[in-house]
Amino acid sequence: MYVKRILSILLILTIFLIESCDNDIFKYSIHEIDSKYSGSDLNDVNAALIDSLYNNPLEDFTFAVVTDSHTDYDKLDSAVSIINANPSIKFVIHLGDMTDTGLLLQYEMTVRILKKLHVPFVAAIGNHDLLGNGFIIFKDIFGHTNFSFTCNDVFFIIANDNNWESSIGDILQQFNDLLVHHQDARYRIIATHIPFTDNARYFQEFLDDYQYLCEDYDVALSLHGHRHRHYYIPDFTSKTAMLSANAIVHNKLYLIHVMATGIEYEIVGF
Amino acid sequence: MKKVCITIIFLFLYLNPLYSQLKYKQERSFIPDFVVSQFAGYIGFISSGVGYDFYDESLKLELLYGYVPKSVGGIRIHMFTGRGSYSLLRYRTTNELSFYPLNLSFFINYARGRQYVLRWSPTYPERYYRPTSLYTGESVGMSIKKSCENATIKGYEFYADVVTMSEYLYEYCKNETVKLEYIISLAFGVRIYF
Repeated sequence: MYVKRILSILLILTIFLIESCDNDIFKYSIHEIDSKYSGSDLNDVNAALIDSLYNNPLEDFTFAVVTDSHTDYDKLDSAVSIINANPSIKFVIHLGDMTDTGLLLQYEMTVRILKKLHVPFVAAIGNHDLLGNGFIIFKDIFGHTNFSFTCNDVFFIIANDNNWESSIGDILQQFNDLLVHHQDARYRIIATHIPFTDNARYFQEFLDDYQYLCEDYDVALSLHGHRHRHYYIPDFTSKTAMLSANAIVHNKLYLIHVMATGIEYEIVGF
Repeated sequence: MKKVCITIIFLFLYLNPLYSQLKYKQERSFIPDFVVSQFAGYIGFISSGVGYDFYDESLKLELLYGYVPKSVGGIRIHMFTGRGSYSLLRYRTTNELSFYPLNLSFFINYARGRQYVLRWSPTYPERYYRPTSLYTGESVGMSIKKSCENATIKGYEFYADVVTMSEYLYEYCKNETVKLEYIISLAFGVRIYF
């Protein structure tokens, strides 16, 4: 009698627990990659959306930059609320490190929060996002790691430059191939996670080549995250400014104002 | 110094009986006390292994191999888990039944695969990344055991656990946006005692 009661209670509790959860209540490994956002192709879909929504070459605009949110989801959530309250923002770029160790839950939490945005968002992959099965999960949810789009005649390149954690190929040649076809654009902006000034990861020769490329193709802004602190080099080349953005984990997001007179940034603390 | 003394006394009090238990196991040539098989709970779609009982079945130490097929996890995963479980309460009933309403477990999970790193290469600065092949987890659960005297199989135990990973628990504690259901998994298992 006693055992039957215990088993009945156990059964009821189990059914209640299973029924009360809209998430999978059975999880098999922290390394699983099967995401509820699988196949969303967020980068490809949102880049195409930005392309189609904003094509007035005379219109000034603002976009938001968030980076290095890692597992501070509440802070990213606060940033999303601030962005949503600002109607002048056209789209958002996450500059990478949206996870700590490339785990599925970390990706899903970040995407769950970014999906609250009222404007399109795209993401660069960060070095932390590549750990474990992170690369596969990123590709599964976001699609391409290297892609480009145009917003009001401003050409954006987003790329994976995490050379320790992944094979980035001849990234400068890839930039070259894209930029050569967009010399008529109002401005050109390159965004990657790691600044090419990181001398532990990139040889001076590589940095020199990147700077030549920026100068040759009149790249207005080289935009990065990774360092968790702000630094801005207005004369990265004679034609290019370099901005390494402070992190969401430090309660910072950036608004980049693209105007006929030039590109300016604004730091928003929260 | 005081802390060191307390730690030494604690270790002595704790490890001395454990040593006696291990000595007893050694006399039995370390033959496991039971085999265990589990469904879900972050250690595999199906995991199986062996284990030992200590302190009159209050403490269990287990070693399990877990497998997640591609059709379930999106990728094939092989993993090994070392787990220690402690039963805080035990109620004996009639018919050689025992009910354990509160079992606490801690486990270390090792995933095998090229993408999971135990020691990072010297390319990376020291402590640049944590090992990605090792994660720890914890669970709380209950079990019911039926003992069978004078039989080859000495008993069966069915258990249910609510499991999470330490990494996720930490994220849950520091973020209100992380809901409990995102981080927990149910697990069911059976132990067969010999």
